[in-house]
Amino acid sequence: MGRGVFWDKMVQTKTVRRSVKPGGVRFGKPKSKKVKQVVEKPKTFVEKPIGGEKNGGTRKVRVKKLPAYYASQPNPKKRAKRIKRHTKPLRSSLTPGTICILLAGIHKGKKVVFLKQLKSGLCLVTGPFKINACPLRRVNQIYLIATATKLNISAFGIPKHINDKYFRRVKAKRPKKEEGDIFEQKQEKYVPSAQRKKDQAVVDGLVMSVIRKREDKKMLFGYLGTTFSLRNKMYPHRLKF
Amino acid sequence: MPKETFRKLIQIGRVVYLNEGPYRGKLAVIVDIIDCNKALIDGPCSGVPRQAFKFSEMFLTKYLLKINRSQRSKILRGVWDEAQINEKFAASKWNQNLEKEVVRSNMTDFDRYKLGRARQSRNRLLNRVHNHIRKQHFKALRVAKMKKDKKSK
Repeated sequence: MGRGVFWDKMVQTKTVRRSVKPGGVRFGKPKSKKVKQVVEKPKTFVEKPIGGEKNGGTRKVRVKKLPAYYASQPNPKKRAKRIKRHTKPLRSSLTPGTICILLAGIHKGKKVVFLKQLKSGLCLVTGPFKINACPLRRVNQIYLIATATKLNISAFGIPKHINDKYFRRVKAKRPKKEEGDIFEQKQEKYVPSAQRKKDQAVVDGLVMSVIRKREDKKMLFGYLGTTFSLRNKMYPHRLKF
Repeated sequence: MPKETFRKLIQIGRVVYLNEGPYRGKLAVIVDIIDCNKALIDGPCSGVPRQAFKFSEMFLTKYLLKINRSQRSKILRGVWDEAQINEKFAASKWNQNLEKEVVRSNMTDFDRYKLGRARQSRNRLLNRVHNHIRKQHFKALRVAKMKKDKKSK
């Protein structure tokens, strides 16, 4: 209430000030005096009857409710729109063809071949599947140790349809209300689709052909097949990979 | 003190291997003993300037130079070169082990795998020969025992 009165006064004083102009002598033709049409101001308060014996019968109520929130600044600056996140930069040690050690997930400890970075920033890796049963997968680079061993695969092309969308989880369809209980639905076991198997074969074939060209191919095949683990007196911060 | 108990002593002229600080891994010689913790060392032929150095931060080597107390660097250089300390240490087992350590620490993961496989195949050969010799040895023992038993009967 009190606030509303204060504001009304402010409006009044403002209008008075405006009518007196600085250096207020006017020259020229005086304006013809017109009879101003008195426009009735819209009311700010309305008297409303209220119930209850000891409540005085009526109450002044605002026609327009005051806003519940006042900005602390008159014209708060709008925040600049957040810039869309770009793909995270890759570590310099991760280049296509780098043999990496996986640190997390079901395949941890396995050595995999880094193929490329996808748009989301995740890394596309492959076992190859035939050697160590690690399929084409996406991994965050923080879960990869890049080794100094690199394959020369910069030239070959990975099928373009293998992107982030390709790896998205397929949502299981929920049964409609009529069709049985929702709790009874069994989780289906993951079975790679024919398309995935085909892509796996294509990519692995390319990787294998590169390995076969190397002189130390026999050792490398064995190396990719083993898992990494820390032994006695192996300090990972001192190791060179 | 019997000589055999301590072969290497802290004494003037003792060549030491520095294990700490910016001169880590270098050789120097004890020129003077400051107190029970520090010595004055000098390495004119190994790039170590004359300085005080803690005993706890050095290892004693088997080399001993014949020098006087607080001998000047210039004279020290001559004695050092004459004793061929640099050459002797370079050929020593100690230095070989140091070099081995460097090679090991620079090994990549793939190298470590290859080393493991190499050791495996070496051990396979060794074990095959060793087991063969062992078998023959026990066989010979058994035969000898049987002969002995026959004779006694």
